[in-house]
Amino acid sequence: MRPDQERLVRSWLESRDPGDAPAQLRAAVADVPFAERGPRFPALAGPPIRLPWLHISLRPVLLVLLVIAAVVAALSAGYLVLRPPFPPRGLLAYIAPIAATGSTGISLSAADGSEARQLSPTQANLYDHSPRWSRDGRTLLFARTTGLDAFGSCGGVGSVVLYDVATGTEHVVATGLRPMNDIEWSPGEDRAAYVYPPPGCGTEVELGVVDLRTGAVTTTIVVPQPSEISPTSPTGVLWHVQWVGEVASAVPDATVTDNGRDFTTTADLPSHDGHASIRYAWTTPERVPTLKAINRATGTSIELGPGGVPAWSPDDTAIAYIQPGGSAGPKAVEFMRDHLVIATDGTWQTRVVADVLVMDGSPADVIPALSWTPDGAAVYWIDGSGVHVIDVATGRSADLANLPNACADLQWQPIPR
Amino acid sequence: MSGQATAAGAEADRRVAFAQLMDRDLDRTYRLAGIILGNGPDAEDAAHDAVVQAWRAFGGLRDTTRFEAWFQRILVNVCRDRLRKRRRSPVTELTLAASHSVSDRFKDVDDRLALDRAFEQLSPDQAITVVLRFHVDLSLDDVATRMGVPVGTVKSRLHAALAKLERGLTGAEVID
Repeated sequence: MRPDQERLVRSWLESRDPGDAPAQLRAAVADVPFAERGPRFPALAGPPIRLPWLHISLRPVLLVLLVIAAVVAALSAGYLVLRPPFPPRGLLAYIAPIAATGSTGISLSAADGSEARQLSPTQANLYDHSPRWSRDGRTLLFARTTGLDAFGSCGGVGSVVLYDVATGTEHVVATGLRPMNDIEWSPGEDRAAYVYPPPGCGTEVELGVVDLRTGAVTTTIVVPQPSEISPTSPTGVLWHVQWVGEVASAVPDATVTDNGRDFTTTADLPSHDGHASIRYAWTTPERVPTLKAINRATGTSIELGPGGVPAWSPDDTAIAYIQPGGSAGPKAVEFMRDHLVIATDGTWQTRVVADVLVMDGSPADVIPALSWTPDGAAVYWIDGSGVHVIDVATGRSADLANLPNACADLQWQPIPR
Repeated sequence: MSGQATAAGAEADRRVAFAQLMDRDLDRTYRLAGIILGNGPDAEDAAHDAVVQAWRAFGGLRDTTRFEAWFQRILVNVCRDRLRKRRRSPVTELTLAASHSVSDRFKDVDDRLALDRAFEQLSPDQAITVVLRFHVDLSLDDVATRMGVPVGTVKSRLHAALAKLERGLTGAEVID
């Protein structure tokens, strides 16, 4: 393009400038952070139905209906008594900003907001993350970074910490390590493995294994050169820990392939016992992710269609994921009415558990990733409007309104039977 | 102080911080959306949508000094989605002429109309790349960051977009 044409384009772009924001927009925007949270299903929050034609002669009919309703309610209550509690019991561990210092720390809370406590110290330049429950729900393992540099978490000093829930005390098992992206218990819970680097650092990848009794650390360089920067994510390719038996390894969250015009991002999510895997993939620019179930023993696979990041049930018998749906209707134009789907391992038959309202936008960005509660009775996720839980058997849902909107990496405490 | 009281105080601080950041950036946001989308009403809707999305994701922003770039990326995505929907449901744009100011600097109306038509032929990603590069004057690296793509992709989009705009100005048929 010639310089005079470039000047023309610039002038033309300037001519499209609408000027400063109008007053009504400024007022609406100022109200956004202070407005009350809207109803979970705005399309259903309409005015009550009025029956102006109701009159005395219908009273006997109403009484009969009320009696029937009471009987049904009593039978339902009896059924619900036999069901597991909902939301499931147990404390929730999550990371959230600590306002006093600007740091990020770990807090605990019951699902109803009771028993809330901040586990991390109120201390500047400290970042606690990746809380992981022991199987008996008594101990939290987590990673700590101190001495953060000004630009994020690429620098700093890493520590491995155990927190005793009953006594409220922490024990720093090992320190002086590199800052971590992920940390996980070994199956025997006598060791923990972590991966360096944190997001966006693009350096070599290191796997560390810590003996939780002695604090001894063994490190291995997994990828000696700077790890690949993903073209589709500004934070780069992230690495996480995977235990296969008692052997730990570092695996990338996803691989990105360039087909010359677009990029395809692929992630494999193995079952806990490794017998199968779900391949999750999306291609720019459309970014509607698709799922494929793979039998690792035979190599056979089956396409499951479009869906968000899935999660294996604790017993590996099923996966849960959000399937893209359609418009949520004229009263909720900013939402899509998606579906929570359970697919049973083996047959991969699917059933829709419940409808889920998801903010409209690029699917790979907004379809939430799910987690299962340790008892396998419910799935939960975090989105911009908070924490949501759905009973996979009944479809009953709950919004955990007492947890902070800014919470992340929420982990449900196992309650041994 | 109970954990809940501490959380409530932190929540209030967060709301105030967000409101202050948005008040500072709103004019720039609205103007950028207006240039991308071509009319004031769409720019208002897009700006408001972006603010709502940013508020809901604000808790994940660890470094508020990067708010401008972070929020601009959200706005770019909102505008891109609107442009895509507009492409799927084409509506005769009668508002473009009304949005131009009375003191039009163009002496050649044909050039302006040619650019209007050529810009409408660009893909949403190409259109946004042109705006970020030639109006916001971002470097190619910053454009890549705002749009979440590699610099090479930015270059190819810019090349294709400028070629279309140039063909529009020279009167050659703009083929998508």
